[in-house]
Amino acid sequence: MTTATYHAPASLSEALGLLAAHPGAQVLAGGTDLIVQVRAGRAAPSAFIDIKTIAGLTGVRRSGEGFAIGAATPCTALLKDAALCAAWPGVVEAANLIGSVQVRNRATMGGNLCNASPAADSVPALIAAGATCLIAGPQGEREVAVTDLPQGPGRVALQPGELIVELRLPARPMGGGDAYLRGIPRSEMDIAVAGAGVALVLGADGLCTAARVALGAVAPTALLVPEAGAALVGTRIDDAALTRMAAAAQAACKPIDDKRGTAVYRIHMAGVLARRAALIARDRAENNA
Amino acid sequence: MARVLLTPAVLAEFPGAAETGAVEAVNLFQLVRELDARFPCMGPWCDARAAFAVDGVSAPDWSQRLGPDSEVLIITRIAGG
Amino acid sequence: MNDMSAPPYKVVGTRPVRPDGVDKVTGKAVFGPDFAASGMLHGAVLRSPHPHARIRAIDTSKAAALPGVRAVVTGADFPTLESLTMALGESSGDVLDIARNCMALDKALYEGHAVAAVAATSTLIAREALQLIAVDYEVLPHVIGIEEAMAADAPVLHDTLFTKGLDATPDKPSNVATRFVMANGDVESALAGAAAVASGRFTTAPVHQGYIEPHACVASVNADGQTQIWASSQGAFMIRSLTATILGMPISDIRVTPLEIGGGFGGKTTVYLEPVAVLLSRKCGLPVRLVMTRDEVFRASGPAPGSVVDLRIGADKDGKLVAADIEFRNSAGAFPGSSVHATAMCSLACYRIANFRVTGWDVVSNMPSSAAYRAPGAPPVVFAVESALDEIAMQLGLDPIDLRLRNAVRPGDPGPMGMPHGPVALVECLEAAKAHPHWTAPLAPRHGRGVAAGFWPNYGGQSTATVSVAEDGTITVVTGSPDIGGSRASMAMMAAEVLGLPYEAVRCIVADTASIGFSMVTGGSRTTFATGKAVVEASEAVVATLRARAAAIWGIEDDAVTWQGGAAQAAGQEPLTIKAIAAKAGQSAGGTIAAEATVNPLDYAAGLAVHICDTEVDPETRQVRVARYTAVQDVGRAIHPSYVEGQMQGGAVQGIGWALNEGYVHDAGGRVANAGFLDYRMPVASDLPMIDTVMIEVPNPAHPFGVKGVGEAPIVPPLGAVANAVSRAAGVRLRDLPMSPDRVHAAIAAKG
Ligand SMILES: Cc1cc2nc3c(=O)[nH]c(=O)nc-3n(C[C@H](O)[C@H](O)[C@H](O)COP(=O)(O)OP(=O)(O)OC[C@H]3O[C@@H](n4cnc5c(N)ncnc54)[C@H](O)[C@@H]3O)c2cc1C
Repeated sequence: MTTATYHAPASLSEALGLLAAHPGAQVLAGGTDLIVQVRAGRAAPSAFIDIKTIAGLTGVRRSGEGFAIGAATPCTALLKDAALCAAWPGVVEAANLIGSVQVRNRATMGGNLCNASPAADSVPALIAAGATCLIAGPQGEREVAVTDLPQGPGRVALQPGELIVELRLPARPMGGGDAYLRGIPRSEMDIAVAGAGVALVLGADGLCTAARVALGAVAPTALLVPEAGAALVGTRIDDAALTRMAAAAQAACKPIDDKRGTAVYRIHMAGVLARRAALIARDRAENNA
Repeated sequence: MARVLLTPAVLAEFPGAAETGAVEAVNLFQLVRELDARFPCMGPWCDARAAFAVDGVSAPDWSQRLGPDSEVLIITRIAGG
Repeated sequence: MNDMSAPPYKVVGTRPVRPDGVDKVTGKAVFGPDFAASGMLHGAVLRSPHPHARIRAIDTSKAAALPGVRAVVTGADFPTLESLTMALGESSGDVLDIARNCMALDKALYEGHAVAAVAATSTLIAREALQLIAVDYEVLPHVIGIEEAMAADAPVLHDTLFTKGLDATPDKPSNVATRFVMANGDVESALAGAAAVASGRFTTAPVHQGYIEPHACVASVNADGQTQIWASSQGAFMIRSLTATILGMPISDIRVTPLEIGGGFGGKTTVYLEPVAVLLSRKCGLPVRLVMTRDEVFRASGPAPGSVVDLRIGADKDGKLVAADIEFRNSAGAFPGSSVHATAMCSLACYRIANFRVTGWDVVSNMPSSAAYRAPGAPPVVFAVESALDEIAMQLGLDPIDLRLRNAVRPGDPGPMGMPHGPVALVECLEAAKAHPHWTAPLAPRHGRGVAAGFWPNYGGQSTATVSVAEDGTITVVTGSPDIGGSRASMAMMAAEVLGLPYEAVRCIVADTASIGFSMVTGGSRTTFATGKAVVEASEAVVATLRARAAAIWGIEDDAVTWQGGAAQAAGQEPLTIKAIAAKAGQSAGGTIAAEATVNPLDYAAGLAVHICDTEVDPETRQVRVARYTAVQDVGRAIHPSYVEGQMQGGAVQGIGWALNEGYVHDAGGRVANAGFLDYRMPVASDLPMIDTVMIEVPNPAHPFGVKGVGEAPIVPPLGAVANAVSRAAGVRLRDLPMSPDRVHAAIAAKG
């Protein structure tokens, strides 16, 4: 019988060594995707490398003006960091839509990102916020934009032996605000039929100076839609701008019909959610001006 | 002679029994024997599936006497959940 | 409402804590998957990855050779079809299907159909062994949908299935098991003269009962054939007889011990694992446990049938229903039997309609064999009928409750199966709904209000109970009816009422099949009625004995003794309490006091329910929120009102799930795409408002306390009530369940 081994490294270098030594190994963060997949026979790692025991990989740090979130930090822990909640409420809220409280006490944003589900909730919010991730591997460390990581369902741009060490968020710009909304048929414990993250900046004159719109569950990966952001820039996020933005978001969608919803409905929802998220982001930005 | 009425569910099983009409029987046991003689397999089927009502009242006890003008309704048992 | 003043009961109608409550909230209760026998092996079942395939050969030799594997079984280990037919005669049909459903023989009929099983020293080894079993499949074309399965060129599941109930017996097998017609009067001319006609096609998806506890059992077979089974189910006797019949064993060789049950809702009224576990245990001589995973529960245990209903219903200008023409098709899954009779019977049971034609089709396809689910057959067709009534009310400008009141059946009216209706209290329920503040509360913008009624016949049938007096005068009640909704409390309460004792002096347990006489499944809303009757009869017999003992002690006639407040009373005597009589019984006064009662009552009374639902439809996301919900039901008599309310609320919630988001989704390959609670979208607590309940008590004269069944009627109206609310809120009639947001969006978009 082949049985997977379990490892609890104390340091990042030990973890990297274990990953190198076990070719079929997988990183174990919260395990809320991985363990489920192993049970269902959809994953069969030769070894589990648990990153929750690595010193420094759990918790939120100030990093310059911005934030560094350890890859093993559970989603509920984000709520306890007042500065992070004030700066990037959309990201924290997105991470805390995942599953239930019990799931979120385990689940991490790093796992959400690396599991690479098109419907992952925290990913559009992270993309909209302009987040990056710090990756460590045999070749050393590199920093990659979150938007560049997902490659397709279940695929991320990580090389063998690499793992995500932390997620990085910039400082919130003056007049900045963000938001993430998803559509699910139930009120919780459901997977997004569509999701939209919006981060924008309002100038002193109330005009939008920058905007990023990202969508989930409407394409093989989360999408950054520059045209949608551009539709807001230079406007007061009025109705006409929102309509143009929603249309741009919908135009970028390439969804499928599946058990969770029809393609037609997903496209419809991408527009509705992007618009609603932009309004929340605008309100937040106004309060931060 | 008891008058026998078959519900559609019973007729679906025994299409030929539609014209059954009247049957000479002192009780439901005998009635089922008479029906079985006319329609192959109807006896065991009644044992397993049928419920009876005599003059509009359900009759769990087949030894119930049938009067000369009794009306016997045969229905299928309905399973609950 | 009911004008009988409430009888002076002391225990019946109160709300004591259930006897199994402490065990359940402290985690001590032993449910199906919790039970362990010493030396027990762990089993696993290999299931077909194909929805339809011929099994050419199965090679289990590699699996059998794996260290730790102790037994392997396949369909070939089951008694042959011929031997079962010989033993069972005409009634063998269903049992053969159940046997084939437990394990495929020559054909796998749905994805998840069991094809082999192993028992090993650990679950991991058992699972690994499954991968070593080589099944040679010839993959066949499959068919899932009802209409596709009825098509002339559809792949045929059973070449022995010839449609019953046609005018001429067909010469070719098909997937249509039965056609069933119920008709009266002249439908066409009545419809032609109607002032308002509602017509259309309504569809519902197959849904799962969604019990939390998966199917599980432990079986232990001795060399002499004596067999023990520990399992949770709705009927230990059902497990015993089906297992014995399927395996050709004497029933007395099997003893089934019921474990706590974590939900059944009809889905645990048949066997899946028990015969397989017995065969495995017989081969290795050790106890074997089989437990389904959630995935297996969804893929291999019974959904309720999906349905396609076409109907036309007409009314005159005053709203009197004049005719109904209904044609429905139910998806039975892999084997025939989708409750077509119950569907037909319940379709129009609430209303007086002179002219009707109801045609039902029972259709098999490559899905798991459908199983009972609360009021099996009724909810989908009633959804269609209640939707049509809503349209008629709109066309005629009538209040939907008034429309229903105008047509509601009353006691003595002709019933759906030819027998007159019993003490049906639909009028009382409708009037209570109309008088409820919910019905007249103002509606917020974007909200819609729907109402629907529902009928379920309920059942009686065989039950056994014993009541025994302990040495100190406390009472033990034993039944053979698994407790799925608080029935141990209700039984103890009825016994306490008859015996004149406090509830706490009476304890009730559910015994194994060797310790109590035969009792049918807890299903058909029959237990509080039928088993309750047995408990009352046995309690009355105990009271008669107690009076006789007191009379003997006093030296007077039995008739001179009455029983009151838990004591014998007679003129000029100090009362003799049950405690005093029990203490004497062992020494000087006649021995142990106990009684058994066996009953088979068929004077059960139907359950009627009327539900009101408010929904809000989001104008952009088209998402439906249930804003307010009120369930009104005639409950006969609520022995334990909290548990009756629990049944009403649970039925409403399951119906809301059925209406809004639940449903099997199949991929193009015929495989279930949402076999788990994340994607099979049952409602979660935060989806729902409080379900308000109104219990109407119109007693059943055939039960000593007036009990009618309450477990099934409450799942009949909600599909229609929710659909009517959504249709009114959305401004477009929703005809297809589930009304998931994408469906509502599409319906509104189609209307333009
Ligand atoms: C009941 C339930 C409900 C759910 N609901 C939602 C939901 O609403 N929204 C949603 O988006 N998701 C949902 N999920 C999925 C899951 O909870 C999330 O994706 C979660 O964020 C995964 O995080 P984790 O830490 O548990 O990941 P894990 O399961 O530990 O890992 C997931 C994958 O990422 C890899 N990985 C993890 N960390 C790293 C790292 N640092 N470096 C490299 N690779 C890594 C693992 O090897 C694995 O392949 C749900 C899951 C369950 C069981």
